[in-house]
Amino acid sequence: MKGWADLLLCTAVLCAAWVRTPVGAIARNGVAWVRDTPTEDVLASFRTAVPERLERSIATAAAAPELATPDPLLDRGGWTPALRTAVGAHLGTDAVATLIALDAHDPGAALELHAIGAEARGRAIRRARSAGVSDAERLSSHARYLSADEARRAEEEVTQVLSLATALDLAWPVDPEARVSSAFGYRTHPTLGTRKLHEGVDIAVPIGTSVHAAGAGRVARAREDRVNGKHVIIDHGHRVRSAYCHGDALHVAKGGRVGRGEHVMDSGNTGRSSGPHLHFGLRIGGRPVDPGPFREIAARAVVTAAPAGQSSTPHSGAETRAPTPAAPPRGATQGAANVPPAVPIAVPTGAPETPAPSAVSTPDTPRIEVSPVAGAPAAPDPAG
Amino acid sequence: MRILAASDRFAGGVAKAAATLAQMALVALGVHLAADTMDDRVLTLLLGCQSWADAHLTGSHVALAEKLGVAWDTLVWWPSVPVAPISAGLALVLELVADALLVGSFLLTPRGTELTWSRYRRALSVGAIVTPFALAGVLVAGAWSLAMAAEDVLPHSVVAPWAAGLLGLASLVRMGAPAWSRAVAAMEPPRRWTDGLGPTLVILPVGILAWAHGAPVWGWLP
Repeated sequence: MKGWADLLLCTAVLCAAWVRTPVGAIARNGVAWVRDTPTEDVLASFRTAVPERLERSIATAAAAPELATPDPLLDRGGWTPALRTAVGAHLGTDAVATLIALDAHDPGAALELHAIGAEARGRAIRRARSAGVSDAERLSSHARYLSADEARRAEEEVTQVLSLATALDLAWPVDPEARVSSAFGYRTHPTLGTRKLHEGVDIAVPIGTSVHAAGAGRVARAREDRVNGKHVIIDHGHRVRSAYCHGDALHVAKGGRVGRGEHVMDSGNTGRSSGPHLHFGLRIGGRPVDPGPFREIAARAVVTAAPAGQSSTPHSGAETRAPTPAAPPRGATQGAANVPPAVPIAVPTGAPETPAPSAVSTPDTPRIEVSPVAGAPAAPDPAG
Repeated sequence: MRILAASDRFAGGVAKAAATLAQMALVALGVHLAADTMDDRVLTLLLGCQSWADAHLTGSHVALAEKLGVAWDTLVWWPSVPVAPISAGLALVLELVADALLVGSFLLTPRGTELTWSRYRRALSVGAIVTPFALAGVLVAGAWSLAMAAEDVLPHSVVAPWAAGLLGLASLVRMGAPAWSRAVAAMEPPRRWTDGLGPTLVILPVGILAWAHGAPVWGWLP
């Protein structure tokens, strides 16, 4: 039976290479070309290109009446209201209870279990341990030991839901009542006359106004340049970064940790700015997103969580959202359960024509476009 | 019994004819496991470059554009570079080149060439050291990749991981080992010790990543 065993072995190796490698994908495309059927993307054999579905999820979360109600038991396990709302928005309201039932103490694990199942996850962790990978329980550590399809599904659910939850948990850096003088989105540049993407919001606040960290994180940048003036970029983890520009004085240093609501900067009029304002930018997975809906969410959370008669603080939900004594039944998902259908928001959908003028950008940091506060003279034209 | 023996001989003949193709497939599986990790590394590198350019070049280039009177984004091009497809594309190119080099190392050797230590010692050069190292790592990674693929399709049971592991081990013994022997036996005495330096630049990182992330042997060490 040695002949049959060898033939089985050859067949198994050839089948595996056909299905799992780019060489196999090229061969499949060759067959598809001959048979005149649709070809496939050879690069799909790699795990880096995961399609983003966040725009619709942000819209869904923004349209929800409020965040899910805090629950001390669930919060301790990491199932914060923001995370439950994010799950509801991204995966559907039914998924929240299902995921908590899967793992009440490790949301990341529950999300992955939901995406690919216990068997596939267990296999990947075991394989990662066999290969000597440390911290094999983490998706980023064992993702390469999943099949390409499983890896994509897991990355899409786990990474994107955690990103969205982190963003939903952000507060507004100044008084939420402060006027937004220039919104996020494509607009005709005041001096260039061309359509450009404004990758944040400009908030009209006087010089010296305290600017607070929208969430806890690490200071990725705290310095001054001629474009953004004195500015701070905070990495909140899970691919979420916030930026605060045109400050008058910085109160944090690069590499330091900041808590949510911590005073990081005084607003000002430095850099390429011709009027006192704060530029607040937000990026998820390196892509600029409109902070506006997150202000709405933060404001609603303040209204629902703050004691009667107490107004919201400048940095909104930081102190008022978390400590809510009334604990609803375990697994309650009121906020997410009432998620209405998605509504359009100002997230750019088309490909940007060009990066924004006077931009500071990194793959993960917000690209910051300066625009003056309403009524102030236009910023100097970078194009001359 | 005679029919069984004949069918076995026939299957053995087909397997023998397909053996070289299967060895190439085993290499492709191993190289892809390494290239997938390479994709992660290249992406991190490109993101770092983009960050560096942002930190050190954006301000000065915007100012230069102002002086030259041109649109700033004609000079500041790096923010819009799509790094993810570039890293995947680079990893793909590296993978295909590594596939070709490693397959070529044993494909062009006639079967039956004797592998001896004295013959290998005379052939010592950079290429003669790196190629066997990288090819061994890639073949082990390929065998493990096959085991993982088999485990993914087998019905979940206690036996499945063992059966899949056995399949991987068998592929290593029946196909990997002969391919490696052929590659090493093919080494010719070099003109200079630097012979094979160019291909080494491609196959060494692939070999290191294959050993580091595609060979479960590390998990068995204390």
